Amino acid sequence: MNFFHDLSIRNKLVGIMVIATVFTMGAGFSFVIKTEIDAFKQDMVNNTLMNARILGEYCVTPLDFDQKKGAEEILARMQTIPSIEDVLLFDETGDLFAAYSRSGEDFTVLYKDGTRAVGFESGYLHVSQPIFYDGERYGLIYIRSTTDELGHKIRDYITMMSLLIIVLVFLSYFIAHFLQRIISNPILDLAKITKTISEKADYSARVTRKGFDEVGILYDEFNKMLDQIETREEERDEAVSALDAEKDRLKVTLRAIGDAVVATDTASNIVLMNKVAEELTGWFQAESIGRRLDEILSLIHVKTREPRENPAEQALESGVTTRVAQNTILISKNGDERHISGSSAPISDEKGEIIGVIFVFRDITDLKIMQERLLRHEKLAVLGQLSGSVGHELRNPLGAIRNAAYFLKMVLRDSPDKVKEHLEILEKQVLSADEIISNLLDFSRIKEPDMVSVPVQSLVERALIESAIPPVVDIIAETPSDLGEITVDPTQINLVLMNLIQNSVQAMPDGGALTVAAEKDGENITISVVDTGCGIAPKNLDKIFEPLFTTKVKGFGFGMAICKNLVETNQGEIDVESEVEKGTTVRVRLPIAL
Amino acid sequence: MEGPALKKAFLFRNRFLMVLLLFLLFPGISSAGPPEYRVKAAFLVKFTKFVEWPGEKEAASGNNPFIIGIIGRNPFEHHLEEIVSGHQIKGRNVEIRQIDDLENIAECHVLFVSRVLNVKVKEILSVTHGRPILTVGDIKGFAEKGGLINFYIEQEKVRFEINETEAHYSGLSISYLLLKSAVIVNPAGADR
Repeated sequence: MNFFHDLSIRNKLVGIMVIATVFTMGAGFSFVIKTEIDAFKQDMVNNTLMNARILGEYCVTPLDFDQKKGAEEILARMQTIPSIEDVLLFDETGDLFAAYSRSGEDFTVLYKDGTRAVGFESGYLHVSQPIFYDGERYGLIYIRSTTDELGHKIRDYITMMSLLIIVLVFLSYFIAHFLQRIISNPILDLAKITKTISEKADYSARVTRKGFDEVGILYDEFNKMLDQIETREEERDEAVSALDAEKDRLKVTLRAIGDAVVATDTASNIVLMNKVAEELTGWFQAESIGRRLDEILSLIHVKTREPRENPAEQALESGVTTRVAQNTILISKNGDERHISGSSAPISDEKGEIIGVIFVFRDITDLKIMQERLLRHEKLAVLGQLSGSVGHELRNPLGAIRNAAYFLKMVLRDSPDKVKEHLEILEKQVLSADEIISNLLDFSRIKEPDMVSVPVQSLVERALIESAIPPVVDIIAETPSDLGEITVDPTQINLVLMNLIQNSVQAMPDGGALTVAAEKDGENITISVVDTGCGIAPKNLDKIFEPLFTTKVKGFGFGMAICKNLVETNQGEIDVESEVEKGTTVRVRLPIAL
Repeated sequence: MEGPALKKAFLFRNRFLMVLLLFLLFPGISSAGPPEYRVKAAFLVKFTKFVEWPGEKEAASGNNPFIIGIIGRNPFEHHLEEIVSGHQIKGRNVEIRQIDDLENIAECHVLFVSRVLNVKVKEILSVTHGRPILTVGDIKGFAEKGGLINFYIEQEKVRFEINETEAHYSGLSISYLLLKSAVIVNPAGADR
């Protein structure tokens, strides 16, 4: 039956009509055949009875006049009727008087009570007909006929019916095939149009009704449905475009915000990222959507470098706006580290259910640097003030000590060598102390730079000439003459360069190579001082610019602090790179023009 | 059904065989069957069923008897009386008359002409000729001479012959059934 279900409407209709035809015809033919066969049987019975009656009449006189031979002759005439197999003639008393048998075979006499009887029995018709003449009973004629002819007749009928049914099936198939269009065409048209509509999503199409039957109603309802769909489609399109506009506005707004914005769902997966967030994290929104927030935002503590808690989860847990802890660093995709501050807040829908988290943060690295610089400046200012006043106060007593030492040296010209030696030490240490005080005073009294344009090459050459460099150190100066001029305070920069050269020389007591190079770097000139000395341990690198920090036996640790102050006063930057036992590189970057 | 049917078949077969046996064992009726003149008497009466007398229907309403005349010595003894006693022929009472005078022949419906006669057959037949009298003879050549029916014995069985032409002249209507059972002498329409 499934097979039938999958057939097309055309074939179903044709099938139904053909089946109906076959069954109706079959039933009709069966009825006709049954009637025909019954009629034939009745004819056969009637004919046989008639034969029996005629035979009976002929046999009246043989029976009456005891003429068995005559009776047998009469019965034998039945051989001209092929269907008759046996004829028996019984006399009045029921005794067999004469018989005729075509085949000579024995058979059972079915009716022997002397009355008229008819019956079909295993392919034979048995007829028993009493003989009456002139109202007197003379005996009985019994005929047995074959029903072969009936069998042939049935066979012929079935053959004819089968042939006729085959012809009718073909005929009904062709007629059905032609007529099914009346029903199937409107349905198939509808199906075709429906397919077109669903494929092209064009709901403006309409079907044209062909009549007022059920299919016509279907067409009308289909059109109504299309109307509804079209209306809804339009409403939906409007709603979608309104929503899109809203979304776009939100997106534009979010992307335009100066702070980084990242939104997640309740599983902490990213659903939105604005441009600032992309810049800070190094991840694009497209590649981040669906990833976990802590995968994109790697947050650690600035000192301990322990990972910070996922801000989205914090907000989800607490249900309220949560600030990012202080001293938090964001490590971007390419490894850049940035100080950030910000907050995460849960997003709720109109029912008040939390549907995600919005995390807003900003880069405060520059702020941090400014803060640090300010702090150091303050520190240096205090120190300068202190050292200035201390130096100033110490200078007068120190002058008195020097004078006294000089006087004692003059007076004690003939004194023992031991005394002279100590006087020498005294004078030397006083000079040393005086030098320290001069440095202190220099540090405390950083003047406003007196900016002039000077060629870079002359700045470097002057520093090299004025520095006392021992012969064990090879000097390599890589300063192209075409670098042009730079606007700085030449005295202050000279001091910086001399200080750096001095440090490098001191780092190479057993000799080495000192390279002083200058190059153009965009808007800046970078002057590098490179040595092949002992280098600086990593733990000391951060502190190198702090005042009073030194690893040297001699010196107070003002050198690099003063250098940094002077460079920054001249709007420049200074940084150090170093590797222990390999050497140190110090770079001074100065703007070409103010 | 099968049992009785088979039994019936067996019985029938037995009876069929028995009849055959009887025929084989007793080929003549004289020895075992009824006496010859009882058969002939029965036949004589039976002939009337197959013969139609003119005006017999009208005659049946009246009280006139059906007369069987016997001319010559009556060979039937008591058989004929036995057969007709209590029976009617053509709806009439039967009367058996011994015919001694030829003038009385005309009142007979059936005239049995005995083998033993004191007149000539020809004379009798000259009287009956053209009259509706069923003449039945028991004399060789009776039918050829103008008798309607004549008995003879064939294979020890009683047979009869009919003169169809004479029957035609007599005005009697003899059934084809009777004609079929008889040997026809002087068939109707044959040239004399």
